Amino acid sequence: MNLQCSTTADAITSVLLAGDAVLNLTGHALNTIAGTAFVSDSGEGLKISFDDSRVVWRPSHGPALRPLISRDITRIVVVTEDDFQSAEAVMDVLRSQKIPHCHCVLANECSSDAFMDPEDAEAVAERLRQLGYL
Amino acid sequence: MPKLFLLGIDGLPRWMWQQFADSGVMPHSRSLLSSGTLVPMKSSLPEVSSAAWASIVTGENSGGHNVFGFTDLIDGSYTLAFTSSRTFRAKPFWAHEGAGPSLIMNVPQTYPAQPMQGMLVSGFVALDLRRAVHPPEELEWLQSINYAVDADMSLVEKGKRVFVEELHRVMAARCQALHHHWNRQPWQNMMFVLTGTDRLNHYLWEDYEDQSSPFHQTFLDYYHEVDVQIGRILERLDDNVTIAAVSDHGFARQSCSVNVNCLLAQAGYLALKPSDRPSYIDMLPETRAFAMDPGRIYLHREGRYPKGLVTGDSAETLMQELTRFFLDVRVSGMPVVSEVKRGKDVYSGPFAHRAPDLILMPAGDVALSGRMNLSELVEQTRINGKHTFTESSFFVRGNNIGQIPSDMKVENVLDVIQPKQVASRRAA
Repeated sequence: MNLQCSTTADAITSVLLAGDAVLNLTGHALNTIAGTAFVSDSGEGLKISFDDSRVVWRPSHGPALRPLISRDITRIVVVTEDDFQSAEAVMDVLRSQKIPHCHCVLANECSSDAFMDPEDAEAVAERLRQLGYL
Repeated sequence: MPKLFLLGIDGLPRWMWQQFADSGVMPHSRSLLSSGTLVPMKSSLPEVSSAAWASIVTGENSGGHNVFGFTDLIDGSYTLAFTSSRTFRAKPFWAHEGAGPSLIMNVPQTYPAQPMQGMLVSGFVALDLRRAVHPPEELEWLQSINYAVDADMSLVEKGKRVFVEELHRVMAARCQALHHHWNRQPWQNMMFVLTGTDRLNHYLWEDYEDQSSPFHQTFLDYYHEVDVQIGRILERLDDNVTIAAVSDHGFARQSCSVNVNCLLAQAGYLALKPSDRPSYIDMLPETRAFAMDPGRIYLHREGRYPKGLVTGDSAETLMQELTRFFLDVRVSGMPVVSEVKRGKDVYSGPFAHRAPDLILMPAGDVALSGRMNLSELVEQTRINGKHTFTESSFFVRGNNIGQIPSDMKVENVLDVIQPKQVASRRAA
């Protein structure tokens, strides 16, 4: 079963199932639990490791994905950012090799740019005070 | 695809709308309600306008759209920030591919205005009209009619008569703008929200309940004017348009407002270092839980907050302890909390991990606040009406509508009024 989903680096565990290996193509650390399987770059190809790993995708990685599937690893969870240029190429490889996978696009965290501009804070606070929120 | 007109009437309880329709205060509503289906709807948790309107326009609960209240802390910090249109992590219905041209006016939580196909004028907490309008070339006309992004709430200090006059003035300008822009092109979707009703309910609820009050009729007259505007809208809509009307929460009497952070501090769960203007950044490491407006409780978790020491292993025990505490606590002999809900039971979606751990449901006439100023446990306020989780309004009339769930919630509105669009988005 192949899926696409969206989550955050903090909430990635809500996507993962037993038998998953995470192929983290982002520059972010993911908030996984101990024992999570990762796809990591072995220099010559790809391997499964249980340490937090990130992979810089190269087309030559394509043939190295299928051998990762085993009795213990039954699905690859590909984690990318929204603007990752090679996402479709990676998905094509997985589909063509019939590898069960899930494509998980990382949503933005809530940093300061997700909120009102700081210079507006006092005026907003006053409005909210008038309605009893603050 | 059927056209849509979605009318928002902020804070209008279902039972009150039906009562005013039946009693003649709102005669156009009587005609409207008899032509479709009106049901009670549950609001967001907590029952605040920012989260509820975000659910109505995206079809998600807060775990999906990421708006949990008017305030939040920036991730990984104690910096208090105010949610905005940029906080949305789910698209409103007018932003989806194929939605068609939309006229969206005065929807709370849409400030600053974001680019979209059509025209949008932001609603509460909009500050500056220049940043509340898309496309910007529409600004000049709105300024020419003295369009106000919000009523001047400071006029409450000058008395109820002056305050309600201001609400009438703002509503008139908004309705003038709606009809002006309505004429300009055949919109696929229109959404228009009246928010004066919420302000009226907050400050004149006591006058509504007290029929001998000199402002009782003032209260009814405002709703009568809302109904006149509903009549003007209805006469322009034909049977091919799906008409829906919603409120974001119900309303009820408020006899007092209890500061939840005060309760937590008195019981030893919250500790602040001395400060002239206490805020979340003043929390000491020994703080185990804190509140944000109005009854969102967050554990001071290790990993989530820089000084947090509550571990994952101890969280369950602490939540049980806090639940017992809030259900038992009394202020002036009155219960404060009627129910404590768990965030993990309430929210779903990619942002559920940002949710509060517990949500307090206020008891009786009590309202809850999440102020960090701990000087008053029971706060002095002119506000005498409060939001309720139950009994918001959902009305719909149309030929292409989905089934209304028996337990209707704000996040179900799009499922009912745009069932085909929602189904195709889910299939994609």
